[in-house]
Amino acid sequence: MPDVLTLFFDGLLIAGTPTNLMFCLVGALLGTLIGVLPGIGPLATMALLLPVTYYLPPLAALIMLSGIYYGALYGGSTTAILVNLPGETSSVVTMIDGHAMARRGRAGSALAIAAIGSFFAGCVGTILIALFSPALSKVALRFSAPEYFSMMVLGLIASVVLAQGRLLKALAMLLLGVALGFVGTDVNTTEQRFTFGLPELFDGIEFVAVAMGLFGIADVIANLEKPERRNQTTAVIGSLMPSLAEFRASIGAIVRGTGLGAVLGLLPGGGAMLASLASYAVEKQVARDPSRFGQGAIEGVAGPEAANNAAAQLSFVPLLTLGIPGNPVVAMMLAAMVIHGIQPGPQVMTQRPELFWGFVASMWFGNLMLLIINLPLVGIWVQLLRIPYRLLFPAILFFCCVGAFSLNNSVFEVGLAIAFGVLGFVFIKLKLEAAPLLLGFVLGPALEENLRRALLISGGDWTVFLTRPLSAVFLLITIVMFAAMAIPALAKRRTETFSQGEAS
Amino acid sequence: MARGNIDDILGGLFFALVGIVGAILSSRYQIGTAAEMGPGYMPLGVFGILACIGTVIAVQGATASREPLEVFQIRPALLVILGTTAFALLLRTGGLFAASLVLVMIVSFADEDARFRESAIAGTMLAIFATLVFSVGLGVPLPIWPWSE
Amino acid sequence: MRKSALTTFALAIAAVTMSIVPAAAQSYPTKPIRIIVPFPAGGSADIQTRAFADAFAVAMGQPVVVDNRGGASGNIGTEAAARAEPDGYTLLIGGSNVINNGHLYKTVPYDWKKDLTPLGLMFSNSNVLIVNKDVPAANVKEFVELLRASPGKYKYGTTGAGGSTHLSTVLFMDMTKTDMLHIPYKGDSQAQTDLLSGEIQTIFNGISPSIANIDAKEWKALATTGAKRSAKLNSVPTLQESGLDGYVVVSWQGLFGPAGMPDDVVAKIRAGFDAVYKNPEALKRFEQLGTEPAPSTPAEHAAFMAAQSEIWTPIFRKLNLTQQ
Repeated sequence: MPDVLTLFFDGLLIAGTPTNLMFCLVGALLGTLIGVLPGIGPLATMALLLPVTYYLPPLAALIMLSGIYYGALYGGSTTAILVNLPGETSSVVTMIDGHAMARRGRAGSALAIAAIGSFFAGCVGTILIALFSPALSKVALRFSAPEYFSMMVLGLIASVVLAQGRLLKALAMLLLGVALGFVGTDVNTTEQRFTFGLPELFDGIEFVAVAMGLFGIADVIANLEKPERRNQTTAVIGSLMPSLAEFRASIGAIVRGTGLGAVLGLLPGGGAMLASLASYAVEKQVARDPSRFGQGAIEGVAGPEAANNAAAQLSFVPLLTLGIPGNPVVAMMLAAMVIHGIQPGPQVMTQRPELFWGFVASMWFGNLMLLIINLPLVGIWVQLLRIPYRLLFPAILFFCCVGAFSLNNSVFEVGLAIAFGVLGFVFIKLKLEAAPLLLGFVLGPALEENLRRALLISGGDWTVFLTRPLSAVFLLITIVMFAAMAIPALAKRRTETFSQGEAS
Repeated sequence: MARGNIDDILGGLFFALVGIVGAILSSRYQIGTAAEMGPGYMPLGVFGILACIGTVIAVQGATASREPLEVFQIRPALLVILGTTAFALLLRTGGLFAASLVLVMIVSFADEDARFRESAIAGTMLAIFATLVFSVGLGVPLPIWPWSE
Repeated sequence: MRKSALTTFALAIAAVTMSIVPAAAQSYPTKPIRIIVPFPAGGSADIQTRAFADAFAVAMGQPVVVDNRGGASGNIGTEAAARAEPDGYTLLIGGSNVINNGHLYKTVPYDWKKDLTPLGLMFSNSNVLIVNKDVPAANVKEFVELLRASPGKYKYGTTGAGGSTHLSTVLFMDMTKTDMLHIPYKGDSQAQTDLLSGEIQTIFNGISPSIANIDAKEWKALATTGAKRSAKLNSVPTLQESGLDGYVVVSWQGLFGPAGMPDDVVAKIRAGFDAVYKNPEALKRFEQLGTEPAPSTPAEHAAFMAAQSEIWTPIFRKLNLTQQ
């Protein structure tokens, strides 16, 4: 095999032609735009643009489409940080500390560190793909139903750390989210569960409708109630760039997040989501003062953002080496490749080296371009916070409604978002945090699917989760993590009751 | 002094109620065995645990020290729901332009500082922006005017 | 600032007035035609439809808008089309979901025999029976012998109960008197990964997504499911050739309209439809997408639907899926 480095540099030259750079820019800009707009996702945009790519050279088409994919990730975190609205599943985690930072006037730092973290992860991801693609593809093959199940359990328990309140309440919200995931047609039996005869629910509840309701609409109502709360958002805007201390705090988080994302991104399914979640959990565990999390800890933005970008990058590995797209967006890339007569799979590297390396190298250009686009934009986005809330909130509500509508071009989803908005408002009043619910909702269906499949294959033998080494490791980590969370929480509660008992 | 954390009591009861109702609904589906789980197996488990946790939260809340419920105002919630619902109902018949305008006009008054003129201008600007970006730019198949379908 | 806002406003007015089309009583079509795809954007039905829609717009001389109305496995979009005015401005893309949903759901909000006008089949794609490389069988005959020797031992993956891959396998087992364990997956990427690692042994898969791993000798292609061999896997026999007489299963898409369309409108749509399949650029695109064009007349389309219903009704009865 020829020297990988030479091939990679050849790739850089191919990807660096003016035409390819231009399409890279177009993709990155478009991706940023749709990422910022809540509800409009990269998948629908790529579907709309796919016909256009017939007229482009193959590499330019791929470069543009992948630019949309990363661009949407960068853009999605912008909305999450500024207006506390997760446009994509992967930005749920960023939202928590990112928006808290914005409330404290550190929106600029949060946006900048998100872009820098993503850029770093993107660069590392590109190098990993270039050097280790074939070896990495083996990782995905080690994962079957038992491993997925145990990993989902770990992910779900990890998501409890997103909450600042009581452990038990977060667990309850998590289970409620898992329960919402049951709605729809059961894959194994075609039974329609909890649909109450509404055909719109047969395919399940749409994530965007839940997210727009619980965060967008509910948040607006809660902010309107409390003038002091909304003024906080538009208060001081600190310096745009992260301070040296913030930088130093972020470096470790970015590196760890990149590592987690690189591994989890290889797996089909919710890799990017799990990666950002895992990164957040890790950061909160290693932090000297975990109580800062949820109040605007910059590591809580840097880590998850790096993780989801690394995961997005590495999610191309199964496509390029096994010919299997791990998520619907990557499947669109597959379609675009097939249109141009490229069949991704084990042989694409040797049969079409110029294309493979050009594409890999273009990922680096894409990330660089997004950094260049996003850093100056930070200043402009932050200006958005100067808009008085009374003008901003109707626009937020509008985007929530249009985003929900455009999922299926149906008014039903708008109604659903409103209903979840009311529910979300009740949650805020009862001091129940919605983030674990949303994560339970995203990961729940995969949890059930893999549990059933694992036991179907093992013939009902539960020990399969312990006899498969990877699965056993995940479960062990879960238990350790749960204990680490539960024991201090119990201790704290006891001291609280005591002190309160004395007080009264 | 009366005891009880109202948040926890209400929240716990809510979870317990959802858990119990969900478990009853789940038991109508086939449960199956571990090797061949029916559609009701996992929901029954999840709702069951939810009901237990909810009960614990409520009981703990009842024995905790007193903490009253946060007061809430009816105006913001009502107008936001009204405005977004109007948008949903108007979208197909009245078109994107009118629906966006009506949405902004209604929800603006959820805020006490709202001024009629200002929200009319903001609504029109947003309606134009919406039309340009979603209908013209992104090609979302939606009527723009009441008569264009 | 004021000036730029005004300019934007003027531009907006110009843009939106262009979309207003006078509803004059000229001959069809006088305004954009909408094709409902009853699935979210980005799926294979959607991609194929968009390729068709571009060429169809050229032929009809009017814009063709693809309207993704997902939900309930296609029922919501199909119902919307069935309830639309039969004026030729609302058309529908349908596949096996149009017929099969009647067996999967207790109530289906349309009757495909009464509420829809078949306007012509568009695409018909064979699938391929693939097995993991470690399965000691080189052809269908050996595979069937293997399955008969140990009933219930081998596992097959599907994209969910009642879906087309499930039905294809059940029909296969029915005709060969064999038995395998059903492992349903949500979506096909995890199923394909499990087929690579040998966790499951066989899948009825699309041809395009299988070729790379067939070439790499990770999977063995035992047979294709169409009436004829596939151009892309020409060395692989069909199941019919392999001794399963009458086993022809394809993934298909057809163009429909609501019931009761005027004859002259149907004739115009048919002319546009035929033009698409004579348009070299469109044909090239279909080929690039890896889809096989299979244009037919409305009569052939209707007959095909009736034949499909004949094949699958007894299979559904055998499956005895819980109908809700």
